[in-house]
Amino acid sequence: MTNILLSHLLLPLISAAIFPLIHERPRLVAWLATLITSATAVLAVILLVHVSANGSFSIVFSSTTAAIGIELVISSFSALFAVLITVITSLILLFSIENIQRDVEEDRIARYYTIALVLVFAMLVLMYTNDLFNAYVFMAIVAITATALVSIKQKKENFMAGFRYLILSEIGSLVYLLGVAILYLLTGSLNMELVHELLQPLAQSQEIAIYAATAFIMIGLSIKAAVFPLHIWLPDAHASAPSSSSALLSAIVIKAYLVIMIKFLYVVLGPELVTQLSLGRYLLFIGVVAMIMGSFFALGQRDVKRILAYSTVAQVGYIIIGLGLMNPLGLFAAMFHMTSHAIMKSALFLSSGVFIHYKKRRRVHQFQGLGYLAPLSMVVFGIASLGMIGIPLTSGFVGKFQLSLGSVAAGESWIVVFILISSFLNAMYFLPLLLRAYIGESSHHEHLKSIKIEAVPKTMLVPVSILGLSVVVLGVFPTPFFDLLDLAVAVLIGGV
Amino acid sequence: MIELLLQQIHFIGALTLFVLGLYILVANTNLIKKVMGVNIMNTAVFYFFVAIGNTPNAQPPIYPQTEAFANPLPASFILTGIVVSVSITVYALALIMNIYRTFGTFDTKEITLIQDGKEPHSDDKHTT
Repeated sequence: MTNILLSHLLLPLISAAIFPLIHERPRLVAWLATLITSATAVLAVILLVHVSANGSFSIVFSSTTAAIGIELVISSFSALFAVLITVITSLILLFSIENIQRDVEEDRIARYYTIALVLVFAMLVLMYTNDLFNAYVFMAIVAITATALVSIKQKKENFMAGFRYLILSEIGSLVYLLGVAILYLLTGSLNMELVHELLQPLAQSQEIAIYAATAFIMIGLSIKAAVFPLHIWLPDAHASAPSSSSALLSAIVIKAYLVIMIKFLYVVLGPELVTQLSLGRYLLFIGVVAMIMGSFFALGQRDVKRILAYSTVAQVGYIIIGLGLMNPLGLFAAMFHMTSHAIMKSALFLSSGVFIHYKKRRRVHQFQGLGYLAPLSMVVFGIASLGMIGIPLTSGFVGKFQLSLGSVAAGESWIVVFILISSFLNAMYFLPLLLRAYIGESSHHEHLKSIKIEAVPKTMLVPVSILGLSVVVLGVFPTPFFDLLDLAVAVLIGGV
Repeated sequence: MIELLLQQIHFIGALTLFVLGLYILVANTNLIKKVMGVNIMNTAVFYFFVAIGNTPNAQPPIYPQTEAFANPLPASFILTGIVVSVSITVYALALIMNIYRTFGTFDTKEITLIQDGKEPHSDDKHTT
């Protein structure tokens, strides 16, 4: 299994080193990148199957003991999110093969895929890592590569958006590192599980120091995961990036930081300490504000990618609420929502990428009649936006339902009201798009007889349809996925 | 009071540097000064991390081993941290070069003016 893990991690890294050598053949690079990410996804699935059957295992680098070395832990939790990351990234890269030259110059395409694969590698290590400092280093790699995915498009607004993103990510990293330094001062260790054990006897005597460390680390991670008041970098960066980059950043990169947040809350601190610090209440409050305000900001936008970007801010709010509930159901709901949001948001960004690529439409009022001009992508866009609103039979509904169950179980029923309000707000900005696309002017209705699937390359339509389908599949048959999530939750807080 | 301050001197020093860097980052409109501010914040965190490894009256960790010795791990962490900080700085400066080429200025206020005023709204330009 160690060999599979190593090849799974090194495959994207080594190919990223090879790509610059064959940069004259951008299409070959694009196909290779897609294939390699898919191979990584297959290996991640093998790892997930293995750990689901045999329990988690770990591997230590650069030392013989986990206390000094860097430990990677492959559990059903980390392997599950590794699968999510690699599968969705390979779909996004498949989409980008025919689409990327619209946004990126020909001689930069090889660089784009180099960066994308380094990003995949860094995110995979973030999933598995069990070391606080190692997490800092790889968060920095994710920050640089994610910024590069934004600023590789040679447009004015991309440079500024990239700069803001880079600087804020770096501030987030630094605040995180300051918190890690305090934890190191207290415990003398950076291994997450060891820190957890060593913190328990200090819980009463050093409460203030633990509080400070927690505050620093959570604020640092919140900047990176775009939790509401700290989201200011997100709309510009996600809206100005090339379509495939927006999908990667919004659907995947945010989730990588949230996984680190989960690890910090549940592995490093543990539920008892979090309850003692009453962190849950803050998280609930921030999450509620995020999901309402994110939707409000989205209402004011005229550009479809900015709407989607602000909707990410709102959806991060849901996930934070799930974490703040501090019960197994809440964590379960948060992880389900992370998965379903990753699928829905990449479906939305990719299908809007089709509109921009094919019809050059990205403003809200230009959606007039798109349902007849680009039927397949508009159907996927429709399904995913219904999922965002939380209509039954989509994965978004299941996520919101689980979250409501979790809040009731935690005795915080007031949250259900806010979840409903936020869903109405979501409907207020997604439904006008859908209505325009299908009802709109009557001149489009005559196309109805000669309706054809849009003439864009198959490699763009296939990933879009797969993502759209999985939104429905996950909404109708969530049970097999629930079993996987149960295992993942059990790793973090024994049993649901 | 003084004793308490002296005990916590590293923490106070690091926090002061950190806030100073944050102030430079927020108060300046010049992009390069902003990067400098981030670098000062970096230094603050690294200083704090290295100061943790200090043990009073300690020897260097490699020789001799019989005495109390300073913790060598924070220094090696920070070596990695410096590499990270350098690469972020390099990338930020490269971005600033591109910003200067397109906008002809380092000033965020002027850049905002150019983005809002002389050009059409930034959302319209994606569809090339």
